[in-house]
Amino acid sequence: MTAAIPEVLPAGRPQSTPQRHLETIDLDITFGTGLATHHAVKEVSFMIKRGGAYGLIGESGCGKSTILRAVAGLNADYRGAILIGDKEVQNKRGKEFFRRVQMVFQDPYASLHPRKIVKSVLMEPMKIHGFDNPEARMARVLDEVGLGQEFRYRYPHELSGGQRQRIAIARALVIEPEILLLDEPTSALDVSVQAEILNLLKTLRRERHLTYLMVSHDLAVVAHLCERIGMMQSGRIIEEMTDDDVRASRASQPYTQEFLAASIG
Amino acid sequence: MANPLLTVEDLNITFPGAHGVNHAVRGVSFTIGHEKVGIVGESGSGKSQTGRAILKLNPAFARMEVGKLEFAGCDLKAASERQMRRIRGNRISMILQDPKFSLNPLMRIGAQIMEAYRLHHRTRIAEARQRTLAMLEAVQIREPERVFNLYPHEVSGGMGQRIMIAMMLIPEPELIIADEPTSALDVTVRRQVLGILDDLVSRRGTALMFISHDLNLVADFCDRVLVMYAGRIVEDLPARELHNARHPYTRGLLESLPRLDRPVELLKVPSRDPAWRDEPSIYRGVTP
Ligand SMILES: Nc1ncnc2c1ncn2[C@@H]1O[C@H](COP(=O)(O)OP(=O)(O)OP(=O)(O)O)[C@@H](O)[C@H]1O
Ligand SMILES: Nc1ncnc2c1ncn2[C@@H]1O[C@H](COP(=O)(O)OP(=O)(O)OP(=O)(O)O)[C@@H](O)[C@H]1O
Ligand SMILES: [Mg+2]
Ligand SMILES: [Mg+2]
Repeated sequence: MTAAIPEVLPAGRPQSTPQRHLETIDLDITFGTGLATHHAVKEVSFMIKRGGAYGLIGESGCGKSTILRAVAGLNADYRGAILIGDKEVQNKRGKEFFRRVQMVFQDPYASLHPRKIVKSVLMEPMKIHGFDNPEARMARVLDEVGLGQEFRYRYPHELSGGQRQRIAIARALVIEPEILLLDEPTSALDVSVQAEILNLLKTLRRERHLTYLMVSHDLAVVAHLCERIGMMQSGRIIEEMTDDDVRASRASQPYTQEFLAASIG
Repeated sequence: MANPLLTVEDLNITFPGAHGVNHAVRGVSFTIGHEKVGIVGESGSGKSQTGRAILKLNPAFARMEVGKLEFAGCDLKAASERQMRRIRGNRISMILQDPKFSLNPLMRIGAQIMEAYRLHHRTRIAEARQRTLAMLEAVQIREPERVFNLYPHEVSGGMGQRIMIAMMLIPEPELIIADEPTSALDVTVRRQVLGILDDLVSRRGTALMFISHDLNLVADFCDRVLVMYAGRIVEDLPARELHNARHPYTRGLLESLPRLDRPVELLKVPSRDPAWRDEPSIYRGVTP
């Protein structure tokens, strides 16, 4: 089932914001039917400018990954609209979309094909999207994520958790997307690799003007990378803050205040 | 320590490969008593392989050599696969780093926990069901009735981790090896889940080997910390001393953390020195 795409954007919203890169309008997602129905995402709207980084925070199960999966085109069963640049994307995405938007998953164990060596993992997307110099690009991206060239020939089961996550990040970066969807990209990484990956993400953002939508339960990580942060509660974004607000625990909703206080400890 | 529960001496694990041998764990020795021992260290430093070695759960083609491997008077080094199976999941539980991998994808969450429960407790189905719901609630799953009927791919990352933890606690083991058990949990839920583990340690004298890359969490939660680098333990110190660690590697890890109170453009990346691999470890702030 594919939900109807609204013909007209909801009233009261600008039809086009010049620097808008990614926007959701009243994104709404429900799983299951009848008694088992679960309304996981409720009327979620946010906008990210080109080169911007937006963070989603909130307790486990509040719907963060579900939003990312819908934006990534992995779940076509949503209502509301998702806009890239000035265009609304179809619920079912085309190949061009996947070159422009890439996702790094929360669980590095599930996201790599068990029978493919690293080299195939990295070469395949370049082949699909017709990139030249694949060998050189692969060498560079391995370097960028801090893994040696000898990792080309390893299978996922021959990698530690953090090494897998770096391969997953390399796979997303290798086709030079404009938008990266990052679901807990560093929660499986130790702090030294986390520092390298966060530095890499910051540098890429500056150099290539990448746009990020990120989920993390580590407030220090979110505040480090994102300048706007959405607080979620049971499927809704209840409040938006800047990184400075988060650093200073400045929030207007009691739920957010509680969440920030508890997270900082 | 007078009478440690677990003794590991001179543990070595190597992986033969087409491109040379990977010496993943190099001569690691430690003991664990009735305490919470944190294991930290960078990705690939051998934390998971060390944890798995205690249960002899390393991949079949890995070579494990160990001087001594003893648990509560049992010689695990000499134990047969059959004896190991009895120990695993009964006396020693391991919470694996990859939660969804260890759940059966074709079985609903509730049915899996009930099955595990009935394996250890002779009870009727109705009671096992009640206990299962109570366990889901104990690990802070909001709607236990709904989650009971979900398949593993239908739960969120943090829910999967908590379901694994609930299952591992069922047999009330003497030693729990928890590999990144809370990495997908937000801070509030994490605190509650750690509370459950903590309670088990103090109430039942369970020992805990807590593998994590979260230095602040380990400093707070554990009693002792082992710091691993390139398959070695480079530092062994009381958890409350972690922020005063002496080893340059441990210091580097601490300095690479992003901090809310100190915004920076780029984070400090710790430098690494291959020589650390061969130096003796720093024990409680003292270099032997
Ligand atoms: N395929 C599915 N079928 C049924 N329910 C689902 C499905 N996917 C997600 N859900 C439910 O939607 C809710 C939100 O899940 P989601 O994975 O978005 O949470 P999250 O905020 O990312 O949590 P975490 O921080 O634990 O990863 C959960 O209650 C989950 O059980
Ligand atoms: N099946 C395997 N085959 C070959 N090498 C392996 C295998 N499993 C692990 N290794 C290697 O052993 C080393 C130690 O891995 P281990 O999983 O113990 O790391 P870790 O400290 O747990 O890292 P992380 O924090 O990333 O989980 C790594 O270099 C890894 O690549
Ligand atoms: Mg998630
Ligand atoms: Mg590991």
